[in-house]
Amino acid sequence: MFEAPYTYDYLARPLKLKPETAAGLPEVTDGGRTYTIHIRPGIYFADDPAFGGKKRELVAADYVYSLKRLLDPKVRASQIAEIEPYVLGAEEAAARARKANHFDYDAPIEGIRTLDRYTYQVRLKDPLYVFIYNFADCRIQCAVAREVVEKYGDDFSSHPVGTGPWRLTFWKRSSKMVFERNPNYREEHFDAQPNADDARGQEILARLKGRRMPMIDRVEISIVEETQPRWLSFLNGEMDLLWLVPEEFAYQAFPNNKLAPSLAKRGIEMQQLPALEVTYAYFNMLDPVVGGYTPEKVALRRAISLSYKVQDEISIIRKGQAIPADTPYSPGVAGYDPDFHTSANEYDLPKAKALLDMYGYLDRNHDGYREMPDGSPLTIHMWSTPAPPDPQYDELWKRSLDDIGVRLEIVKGKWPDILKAARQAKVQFWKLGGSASSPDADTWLTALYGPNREGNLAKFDLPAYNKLYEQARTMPDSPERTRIYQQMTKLVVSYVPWRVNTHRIRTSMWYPQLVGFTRSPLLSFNFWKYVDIDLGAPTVASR
Amino acid sequence: MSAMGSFRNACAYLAVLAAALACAPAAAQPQKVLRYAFEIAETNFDPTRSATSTRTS
Repeated sequence: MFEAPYTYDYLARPLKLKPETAAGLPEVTDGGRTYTIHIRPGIYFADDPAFGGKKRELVAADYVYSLKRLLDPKVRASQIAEIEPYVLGAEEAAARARKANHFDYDAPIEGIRTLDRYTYQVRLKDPLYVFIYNFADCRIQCAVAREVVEKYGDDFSSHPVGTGPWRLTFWKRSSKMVFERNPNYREEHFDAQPNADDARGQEILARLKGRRMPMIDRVEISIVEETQPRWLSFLNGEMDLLWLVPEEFAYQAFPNNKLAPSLAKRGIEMQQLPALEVTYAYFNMLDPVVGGYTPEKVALRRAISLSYKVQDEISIIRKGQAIPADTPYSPGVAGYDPDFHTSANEYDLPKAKALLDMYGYLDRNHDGYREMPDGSPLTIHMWSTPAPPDPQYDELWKRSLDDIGVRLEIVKGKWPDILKAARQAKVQFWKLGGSASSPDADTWLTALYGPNREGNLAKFDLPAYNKLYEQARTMPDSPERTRIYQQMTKLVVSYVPWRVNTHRIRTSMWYPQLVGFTRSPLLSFNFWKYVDIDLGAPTVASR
Repeated sequence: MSAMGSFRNACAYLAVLAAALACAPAAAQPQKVLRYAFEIAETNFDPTRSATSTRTS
């Protein structure tokens, strides 16, 4: 529904920024401090009573307004940390608003301004090349119209009005959503830049190039939280697409990663894609038992890391749908180098035990479990939810730590409650996954940067890492910056604030009537306008 | 496209036979609908407020 000035090319890999409502790429000047963006004239919002019966053109001021909303405390913007510390005048504006309990949208902010009707500029305090991706992040830069926000107030969040190809026409919370074409959507034609050796991409381009978008009339989304009903409704033909085949059905759906013959016979297609994602288990670096930077603390975390056999996680729990990770960032992002390997996933019990022995974690009372170097009890508290597959992880970690004589206790909680406790640094050890919000390793590395209070759940704060991170942020993607990322990775592997585990492989399946579908590595990418429904395709059950 | 064409022809043909039948273009074109499932329900459509953390177990 909403549109940022930029998006990513539908078929280019690695991901490539592409104008959405903008004319051309942003002009980046002043050594990575100033971003100037031109919006294409003649783009209109979907009709709404808030516009008083007139067509409402998208202008640069809409992007300025939308960006300012992040600083309004009443909005509770999720991505404020991407803007407030970096944009000139943003901290002051946010502070004024917090003090007055009111955000003044008419007050100018030094670093966010329009230059003319269709041009705006964002200026930063310091060079920050990865800032460019914010202009493609809907949470930061999707255009909303001030009249609409002001007319609907608190109801705005259930009353979306944007410039994009879709309008929300039906919404039953937690159950169903229907989107239909926005008749005001501009004339856009399918185009993309797949690699020459990307057979699927080339085939999609050949079939759809030049077609007016969107090609379909309507999108019906059902909310199905449980994995089994989701899987069955796809098999029954109630769905055109299964966006994510649940890992538990992997052997059934694609034994040995080949589509099951019974599904292939029905014309079902499959795509497997390494996600831009890292799974890891983090230690709370402020915790008196597992935290800290002294050698015996590092040794404890390192020993725990060495005791964990990630291949068991991959084969038993993830049904082969993951690869071991070497780095705290995934393949497919800027800064990733496939030739760079680390010992992040080393599994070596004798080494783990030797480390613990060496630093005085000994079993003095002969109960089978080691104590702290000072003789006090040692118990690791791992948090986890009661929902599958977490109990399987509990078992795997319990076995791993038993193998090296370290006692593990599981603390059960609901996921949002654990997250809340984690933010308050009350969680000792927890397994997480992180999906990329931009195609740059920075999207994860920022979560280990000391001053990043919001996103750094491990509370890792190592001066050497912080310094490298600050340096990397002033550099465009380059071999030099990749080497800095690798130095940072070595610090992560040495100090083990994160036990880096896997990158997951995601599988989508669809029926032959869905034409042109491909999975973007970016979870948030909306593909609807790029696909067609072939009404002449062989029908399945309910169609 | 060929399926669509023959459907329109069928409408024209029917219209000659029985003018009362509803063969207006809107009714004649079958809608192209994409149906699939989300795992997690949207709680709001304000892009700025969209969640930071998504569960990835």
